[in-house]
Amino acid sequence: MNKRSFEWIGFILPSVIIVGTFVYAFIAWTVAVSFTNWNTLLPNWSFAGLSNYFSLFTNNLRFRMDLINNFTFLPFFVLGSMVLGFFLASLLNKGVKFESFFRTVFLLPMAISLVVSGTIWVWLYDPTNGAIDVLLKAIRLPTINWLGSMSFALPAIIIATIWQYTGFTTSIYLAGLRGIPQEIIEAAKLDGAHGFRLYWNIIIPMVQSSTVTAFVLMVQLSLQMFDIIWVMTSGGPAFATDMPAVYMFIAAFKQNFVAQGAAIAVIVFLLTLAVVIPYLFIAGKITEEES
Amino acid sequence: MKKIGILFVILTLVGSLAVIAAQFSIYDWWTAGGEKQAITAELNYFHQLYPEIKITQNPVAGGAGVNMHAVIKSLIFAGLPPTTFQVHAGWEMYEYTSAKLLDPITNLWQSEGWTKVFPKRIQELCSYGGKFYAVPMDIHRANMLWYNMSIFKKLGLKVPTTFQGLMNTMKKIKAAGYTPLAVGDRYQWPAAMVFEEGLLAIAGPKTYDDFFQGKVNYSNSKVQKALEDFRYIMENYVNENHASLTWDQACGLVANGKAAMTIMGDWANGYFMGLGLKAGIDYGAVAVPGSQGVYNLVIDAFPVPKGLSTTQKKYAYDWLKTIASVKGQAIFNQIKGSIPARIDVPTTGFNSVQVANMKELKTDILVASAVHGSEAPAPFVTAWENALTVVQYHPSMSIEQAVNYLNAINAQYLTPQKLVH
Repeated sequence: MNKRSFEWIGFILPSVIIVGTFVYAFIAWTVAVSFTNWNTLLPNWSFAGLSNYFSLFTNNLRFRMDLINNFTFLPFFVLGSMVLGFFLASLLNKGVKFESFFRTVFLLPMAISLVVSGTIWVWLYDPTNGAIDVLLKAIRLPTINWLGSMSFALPAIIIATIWQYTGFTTSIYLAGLRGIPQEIIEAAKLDGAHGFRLYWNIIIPMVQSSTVTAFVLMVQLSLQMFDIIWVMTSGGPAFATDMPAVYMFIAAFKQNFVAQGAAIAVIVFLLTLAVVIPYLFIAGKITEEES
Repeated sequence: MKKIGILFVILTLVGSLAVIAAQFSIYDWWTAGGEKQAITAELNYFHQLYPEIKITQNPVAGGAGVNMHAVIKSLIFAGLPPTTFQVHAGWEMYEYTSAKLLDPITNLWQSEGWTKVFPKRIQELCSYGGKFYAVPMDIHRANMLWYNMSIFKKLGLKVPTTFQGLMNTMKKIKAAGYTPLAVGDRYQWPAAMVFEEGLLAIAGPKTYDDFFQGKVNYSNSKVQKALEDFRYIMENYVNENHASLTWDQACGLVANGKAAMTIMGDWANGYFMGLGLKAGIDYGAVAVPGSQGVYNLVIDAFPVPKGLSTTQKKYAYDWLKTIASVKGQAIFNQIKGSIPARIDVPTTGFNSVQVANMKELKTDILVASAVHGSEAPAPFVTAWENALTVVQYHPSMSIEQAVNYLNAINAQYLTPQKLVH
């Protein structure tokens, strides 16, 4: 071993220790807690086996609704933010005037805390004097009691989160689009590919790695959705917008069902892993192909 | 969520350092208008009495202290308890005492003669296993109806005296084009209060206590009537945007004349006073019709956590003596809108709603609020509030289905072994 190989250990060690302690050790701790009977304020380390998991899946209306809500939310949020992000990125990539201005405008929602944007959306959705219903009234459409209705509350949250995260997918796609060599586009155009065909056959396949990145990030975000829901509805009305992360917080910190909360956290973690692990393989493959 | 976990740890560490550095560290959740001024005034008074004590106030926003209690628990587990913290007397405090996280203060209660000046029921709620653990700073009344006086005058309405009378009044108000009852249940508890105070008014204090002790359930005809009225009110008489609002915004609807009434605890009094409105002129307040003669208590109290140093313990005792004193109780409650827990505080400086409540506290039957954590354990309260929203938002659910569903929740949480404390 030469001197250089020790140097990199020195550089990497602090972050390994910090990540190891604050991420992996805590994940392990959470998993351990989920197998105990710690459903009181004081720690109770007696072994409970899988009973915390069983109770969630057998006789728990709330958790069942959480999963249904989460998997209804997921496709709309992920597809919505990705399609819109790709569309906006393509427009920006056309070399519009004031491009950097628009880029900032699109990215701005990302810079706002979810708590702030959640509060703003609550005002917008207000059925008596919120901007959205005032608009609907002006064009003589029936107004909607967005957050107070079982059927519209979840769509309302989907719209708000798409608004929040589209700037993010836009920037991912913009980077991808900028990475396509101009010659390829020119060559395709010479071969007669225009408009939709150019996008479908050339550009979309070329930004595949951006798509995979955006997809994984958006799926992971939607599985862990908490702040904006907590602010906008806190899971209501009647669990219509409740998600596992909200239930986890309530169970662990309000009801003192610490082990049950940990079990929910582990389930969310496993669901996230189910998305991230395939991503690592696909991303690896794409990098290989590209190189 | 991992991020939240990490943040939590960091905040805890930072918080602990603050505790070590500070001499007197107090946690509360008084961050809204009115209540914030009240705690500031009380801390100023404390500072006047004990100028040598350095005060660090740590307000943690979040309805009924859900966020604050998470912080307190982690501080105590880390062996770095704050000098004192806000807690609702009753079940919320029992959670800490049953886990042996608080120091008994029976000696202080006796040496200061507090057993003579605080009502018996309040003493019971501040004690556990025969020992005292907390000192009450204020008494809030949950079963209050607030109404806009000019709307009542305009429509020629009289304040009803029964719950059925209230239902009839709401019908008239609706016909006149006003929202009868303002509710802001973005966080579920204000809707649960509509049920809780309705239950108290319809079924009376005995059945109310029996209900939260798991002795009767929704199959009881009076409880069932309260449930039916609750569903009817929430479907027909409340503001359309109730799910978007918080309790104070709902009070705002009454203040600006959009809604005629609201059912809310007397922290609403602090809110109205903060807007510059006058009790008895702009807004009126009575016990929720049908519950006259019953005082539904919400008690903000301060305990002494285990594991304090001798100096810190002395500071905690100094604080408790300050808030339990006649002057300390007057300063805080005049601004807060609540009333003193002591019965010997003079009524000068309090508004008409408070004076009436101070009088009634001495004669009324005292019960405690479940929504506010005094009457029932936290796991039940959360599950119960959520279950109420389920029957509220499913009007198609028949009353039998609703009763069965809610009875199952009560059976799960209000079992005798879960009610041992």
